[in-house]
Amino acid sequence: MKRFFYILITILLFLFIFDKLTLLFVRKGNGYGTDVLDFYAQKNNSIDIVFLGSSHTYSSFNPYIIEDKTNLNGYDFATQQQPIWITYFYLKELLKYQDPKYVIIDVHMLVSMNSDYAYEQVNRDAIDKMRFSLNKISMINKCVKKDERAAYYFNIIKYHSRYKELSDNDYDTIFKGRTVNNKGYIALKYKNRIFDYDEVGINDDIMEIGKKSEVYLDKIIRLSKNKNYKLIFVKTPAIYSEVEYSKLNYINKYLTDRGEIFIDFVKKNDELDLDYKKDFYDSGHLDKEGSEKFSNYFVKYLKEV
Amino acid sequence: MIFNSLSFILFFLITFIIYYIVSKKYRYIVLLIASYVFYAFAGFKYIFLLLFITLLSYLFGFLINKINDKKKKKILLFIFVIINIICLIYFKYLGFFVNVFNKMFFSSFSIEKIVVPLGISFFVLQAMTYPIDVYRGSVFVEKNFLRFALFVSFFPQILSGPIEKSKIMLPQFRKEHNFNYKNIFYGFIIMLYGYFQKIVVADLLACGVNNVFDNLKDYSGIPLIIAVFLYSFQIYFDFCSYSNIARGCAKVFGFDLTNNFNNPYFADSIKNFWGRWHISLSSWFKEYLYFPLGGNRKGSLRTYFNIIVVFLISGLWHGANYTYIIWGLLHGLYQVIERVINKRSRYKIINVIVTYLLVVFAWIFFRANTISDVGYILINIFKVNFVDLKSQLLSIGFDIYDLKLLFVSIIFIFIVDLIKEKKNILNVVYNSPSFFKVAVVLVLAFWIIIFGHYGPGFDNSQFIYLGY
Repeated sequence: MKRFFYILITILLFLFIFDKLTLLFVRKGNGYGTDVLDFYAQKNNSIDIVFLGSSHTYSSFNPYIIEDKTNLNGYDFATQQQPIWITYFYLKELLKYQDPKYVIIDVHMLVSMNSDYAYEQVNRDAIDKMRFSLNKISMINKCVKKDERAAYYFNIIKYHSRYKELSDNDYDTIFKGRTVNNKGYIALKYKNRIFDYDEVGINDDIMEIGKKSEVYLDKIIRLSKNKNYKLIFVKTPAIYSEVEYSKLNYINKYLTDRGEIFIDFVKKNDELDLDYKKDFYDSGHLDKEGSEKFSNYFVKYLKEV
Repeated sequence: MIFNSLSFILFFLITFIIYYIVSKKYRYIVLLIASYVFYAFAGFKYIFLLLFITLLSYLFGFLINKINDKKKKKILLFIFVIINIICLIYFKYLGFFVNVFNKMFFSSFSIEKIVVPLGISFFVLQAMTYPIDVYRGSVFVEKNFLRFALFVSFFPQILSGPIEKSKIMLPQFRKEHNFNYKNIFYGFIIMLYGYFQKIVVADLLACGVNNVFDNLKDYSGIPLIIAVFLYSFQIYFDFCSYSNIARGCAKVFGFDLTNNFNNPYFADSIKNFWGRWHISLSSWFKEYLYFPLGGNRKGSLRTYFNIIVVFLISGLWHGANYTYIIWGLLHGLYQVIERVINKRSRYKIINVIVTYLLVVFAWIFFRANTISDVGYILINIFKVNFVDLKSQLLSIGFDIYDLKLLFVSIIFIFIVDLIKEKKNILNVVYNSPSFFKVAVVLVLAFWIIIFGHYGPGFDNSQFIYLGY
């Protein structure tokens, strides 16, 4: 009996220390996109409206403005270049802790994802800090190539060599808890190029998107059936090329054929009154002023839906 | 599936659970299936070679036992040994021998490159012990083919030894094994220590050592000296770690394998070194080659000849390259000279240091990629300069964290070895208070997890913002 007790103590201590070390060593991110730990720090069932997707999401939807105007507590649950399959697993993770009224998904990565697997950085940003669960395991199985999966199940395999560069920020994560609280929103300030609306390649052509993207789009639609929230697909303002826009046309058709709501804000420039010369950080991302204009407009639109 | 992979750990844990779930009577079958699955991961097509070697030994053992005529027994044994040697030559040495032949006779024979089946040098030698032991009457004939197949294929030892004798292992496979907490504790501790030696120390040492030996022309003097000495540690920790993992693994299932390394660098003579280094191989060569050649019973000259032959073959066994042959020859010569001079310092420490330096010198031949590399090392190792020692040290390829880690880890192993020299350290740990045992397990485990040299590695530059 005593022996069994000590074996149990060893296993429990091992798991406890392993969990803390995993948190200590994991890369703490570059400040772009939602810090998943920050998402877990949100009070259960406190988020009313969630915005999923890539950097187009977290740089466009300003949850503070949206809350101010609608009283809906918003949250950008988005990571850079987030493919739709990660969005699907994020939605499942979200529904474990939150009961939102609106789920807004930006479709940018349906347009720009040309491969069945994202870059490692993209996967790492999205997956590393997720809590260990069946959802995380199936997410890794579907999003990561087979020979790389072990280092995602146990990300200490990837990050343990960071013992050489641990900083106060790393120790704070385990000893002081989360300090970041920005509702996932990133206000981009630096402008590195001036754009013009004429550069947007609006056209009527249709170009198919990747099959894996379609599969996960369908899964999101199925998952959202008979749920309490309203699912809305959007494309936030972006300066798309003709090819990109033809893919957006395909997505538009694909979703409306299935009875889903899709709003193309790329086309709504007149109503949005965006100044393309001032309101963009780059061709895909609104800057702080642009996102304020867009969020204000989105609130008006949300009231109409 | 190598020992230091997640897939092996998973495989081992599954085998462990199944082994102790099934009835004692059938546990050896679980191990046999596990061993073939394990070997299939190493190379599926070579399973047939393993099966062939197994059948061959089983059959010859049976026949040698059945026949009463001593002369016929001898002929059978001779045929058996020749077939095994042909197998080894075909898979491991044919290319090398053709090369040597071409150089000697200016011919241009060529053969297709043959992939050496993993573990062939180990399991062939192990299988060979059975008919020889049967011939000598030192082991009972094993009638159960499955049990015999397990003896040849036992997964902890099939790829890197220890090379066991049939008379040691078959009686263990015949016994039924209970769930024994002490065995399992010992096994896991030995494995953990093996993983520590391999993943934390040997693999890190390999980075610097490989860096120097693979880019020799960039180094001379102090970095070269350090690399040579570090290699002596690398090969010890690396090989010893494999043996420890194998030994621990077998112990968990209730089997005792030879302790392959007994503080070899504490040896005070070359003869003593070979009683401590790769003990299972030395013992194999002693019993199945040195003694049949006559050992030391036929006069001094014949003894010296026998020693040289045994060590030449030992060198060749390690690899088909001149460097290994010269390494073997050197060790043979060391021992002959030791016997001829027969003089030693009265201070043991001096004997230990001299022995270690001789061993290190021989390792240069063992590690160098070619004979001309050996020449380069021997010429340039003495071009020592003491300018900017720190830069010279770091030029090997370690950063300051690596050097600190190596220093602490090697000191730790040295202390463990010192204790091992006086006491059975496993008993010391086992008989200590329970909280200490918990601490030992956790410290070793997390030392490996944090400081181990494994995984895809982290480079912050991979994570620069993509601009999306």
